[in-house]
Amino acid sequence: MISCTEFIPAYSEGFKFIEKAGGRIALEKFWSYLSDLYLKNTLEKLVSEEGLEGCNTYWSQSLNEEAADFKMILDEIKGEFSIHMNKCPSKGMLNSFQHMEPYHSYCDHCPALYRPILERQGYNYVDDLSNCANASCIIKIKVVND
Amino acid sequence: MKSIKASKGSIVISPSLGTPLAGNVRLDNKSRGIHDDLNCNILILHDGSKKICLLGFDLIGLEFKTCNEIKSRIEKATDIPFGNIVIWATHTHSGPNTGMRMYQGTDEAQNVYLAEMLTKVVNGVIHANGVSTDVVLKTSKIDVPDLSFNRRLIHEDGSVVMNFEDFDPGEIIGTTGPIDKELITLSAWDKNGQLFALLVNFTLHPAILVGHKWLISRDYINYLDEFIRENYGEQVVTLFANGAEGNINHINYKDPFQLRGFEETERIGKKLGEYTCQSLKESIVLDGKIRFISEKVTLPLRTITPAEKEWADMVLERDKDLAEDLLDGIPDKTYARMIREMLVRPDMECETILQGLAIHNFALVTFPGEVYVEYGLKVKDLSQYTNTMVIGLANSFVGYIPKPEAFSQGGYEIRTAWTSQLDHYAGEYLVKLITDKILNNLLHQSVQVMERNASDNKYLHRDFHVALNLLLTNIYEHFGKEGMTDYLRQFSRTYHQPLNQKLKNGDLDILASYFKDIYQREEWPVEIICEENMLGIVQGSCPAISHIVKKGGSPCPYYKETYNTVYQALCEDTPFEYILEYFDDETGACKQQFFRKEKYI
Repeated sequence: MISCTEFIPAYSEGFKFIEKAGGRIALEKFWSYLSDLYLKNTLEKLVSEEGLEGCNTYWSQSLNEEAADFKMILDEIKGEFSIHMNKCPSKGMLNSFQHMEPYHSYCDHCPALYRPILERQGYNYVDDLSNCANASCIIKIKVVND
Repeated sequence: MKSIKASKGSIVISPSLGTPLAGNVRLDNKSRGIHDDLNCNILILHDGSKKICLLGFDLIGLEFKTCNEIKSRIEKATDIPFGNIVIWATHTHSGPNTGMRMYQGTDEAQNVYLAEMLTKVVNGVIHANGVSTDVVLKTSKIDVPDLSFNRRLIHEDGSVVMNFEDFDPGEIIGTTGPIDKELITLSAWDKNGQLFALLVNFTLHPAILVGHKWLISRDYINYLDEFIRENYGEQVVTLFANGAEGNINHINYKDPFQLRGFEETERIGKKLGEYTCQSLKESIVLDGKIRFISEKVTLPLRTITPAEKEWADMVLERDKDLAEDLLDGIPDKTYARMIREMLVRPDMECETILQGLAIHNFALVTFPGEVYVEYGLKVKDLSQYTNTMVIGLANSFVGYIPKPEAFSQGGYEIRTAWTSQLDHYAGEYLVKLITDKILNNLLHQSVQVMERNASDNKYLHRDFHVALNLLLTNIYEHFGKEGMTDYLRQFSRTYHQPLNQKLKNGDLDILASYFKDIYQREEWPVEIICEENMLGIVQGSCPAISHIVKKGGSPCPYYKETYNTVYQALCEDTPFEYILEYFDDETGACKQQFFRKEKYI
C-alpha cells in the first residue's frame, strides 16, 4: 500500500515519470485533469457557494490535515484570501529526504491546479514562489472588480 | 463568485383620506388628499445560508412594538427569521400618525390604518419572497455637498437657534456641527445587467413639506424614486434609508430665495437622483457571504427634572383652555402634557434592536431614532468597511439622540418629550454598543485569521488517496498497465531505498516496525504477524480504497499493484520475497507475506 502519509514522494515521482514518458506537456495535461476531477467537487463547489470563504473552508481543512505551518487570512473587506506558507508540508517533506530528489519544478503544480478553478469563478490568483526552494510561499486570491 | 438571490416588492401604504397626519400638532390634522403615494419597499437578500429582509417605510416613524408585530407576522408566514428583518422609516413628515404618543385623540384612526397597513405589508413580503432572481450586488459612494445643512445655528450672542426659526441671518456666525455628505448605494443587478433593486442612504430630514396643504407625500424621496425609474426603468424598486438626520435638514439660512413646498422637494429629489445615477456608474462589485448581526439592547431614559415638572404644571394650568393646535411646530401645552405622561410611564428603560449587515467592503448599521449627525459620522469613522451606511429610525422610534453638549446649548431636539426621551448620554452609549456588539461582530465574521504550527496537528490527509488514485488512473490510461507498474517500481526503488538497504542486512524487525508505523499513522486496523522468517500483514480492507469509495470514486484498474509491485521492488536484492496471498479488488482486503528466502534461512 502507499499510505496517504507517503503520498508526497509518490506524487513527486509521478511528476518525474509522466514528464519523462510524455514531456512537460503531458504533465501539464495531468495537472489540468487533476484540477478538473479532484477540485471541481471540492474547492470549486465551495467557492461557488461561499465566495472567498469557500477558499477558507477548503484550505483550513487540507492545511490542518497536512500539518502545515501557515497563516491564513480571509479578509472579506479587502476582498482577499491569502495563505502565508511558512513551511509547506509537501515541499518541506521532500526537502527533508536525503536519499531522493524532488521533481525539479514541484511547486509548479499548485498554481496549475488552483489558478484555473479560481479564475473560472471570477477571482485573481497571485502567488509568490520565490522562496519555494525553502518550502515557503505566498498565495493571494482576490476579488476581481469590473 | 458567490451567488446571491434577491426578491423585491413595493406596497402602497397611503392612508385613506381623513387619516390624521403626523409631523405637526394641529387640531385639524386630517389628510385632505394624496400628492404621491407612500410605499413600503421590500428587498430580500439570500446568500444560500441566510435570508435578510429589508423594509423601508415612507412613514415618520414606527414604534418598537409595531416593528416587532410586523416581524413576528412575517416570520410566521415565511422562512425569514424575526431577527433577520430590518425595518426603518424614511421619516417623511407628510404621512399618517402611526401610534406616536406625541399626538393625542387619534387612537381609532391610527389603529385602523396600522391594522390595514400591516396586513398589506406582510402579504407583500410573502408575495415577494416567493420569487427570487440571481443578482450581482454592488456598492457606490458619492459626496453630496450642497443639499443638506446642519440646522443648529450659532447666534453671535452665543445662543443656538434652529434654522427654521426667525432670526437675522447676518447675526449667525456658524453651525454647531457638520453635515454628512455621503450618499451610499447598495444595488442589485440581474444577469442581463439591468438594475433590479436599489438601496439609497442619505442624511436629510424629509421635512420640506410637513403636511403641506394637508397632502400625503413621501417628500423629496418621491422625486428621487421617479428619477431612478426614468433612468433605469420602471422595474427598479428603490428603498430610501435616512441616515443620522437628527440635526440635519434642507434649509440654507443664507439663501433667502430658497424654494418651498413641492417645488423644493422636486428640486432636491431630482438632484439626489442625479447624484445617485452618477454614483451608480462607479459601483464596485460585492462578493462574498452576507454577514449579519441583530442585538436587543436597552437604552437609559431621561429623568424628568423638578424644574421641568414645575414648568409643565404651570403651562397646563396657564393653557388649560387652549387646544393643542399649531400650524407648524409644537405648542407648549403639548410639551407639558408629554412631561406629565412621562412622569408616570411604567417602563424604566427603552428597549430596541440594533442590527448590522456586511458584505465584502460594504456595511450598514442601524440606529433606533433620530440620531445627531456627529454620531453617524463617528460610527462611519470607526467602521473598517469602505462604504458604511448608517440607517436611522430603525426598528423603533426612540426619538432624538442629541450630543450631550446640545442640552446646555438649547434648541429643538433636546426638549423633553416623547420625541426626546433618552438620557443625555444615550448617544455616547449607543455608539459604544454599535461598536462593540455590531461592528466588531461583523468584523470577526468578515476577517478570519488562522495560524498554525506543524506541531499543532497530526499529519493525516486521507484525500491524498483520491489524488494518488487519479495519478495512477492517468498513468494507466496514457501508458497502460506496464507504464503503471514501471512508475510504481520507480517510486518504490527511490522512496524505499533506505528501507531496502536495511532489509539487505536480513533484519525483518525493521519491516515490522515500518508497517506498524504506517498503519498507526493511517489509524487503520491491521493484524501483523511477526515470526523469525516471516512477516504477515492481514487487513480487512484497504484504507486507500475505503476512502476512495467513500468519496464517490472507484479504485483504478490494477490498484493491487500499489501493494504487489511496490513491495516486490522493496525486496529486490534482499534476503526476502513478497507474496500477495489474496487481494479483494473492491475492498482491498488482503493478506501480505514477506518470507525469508530458503537460502537465507
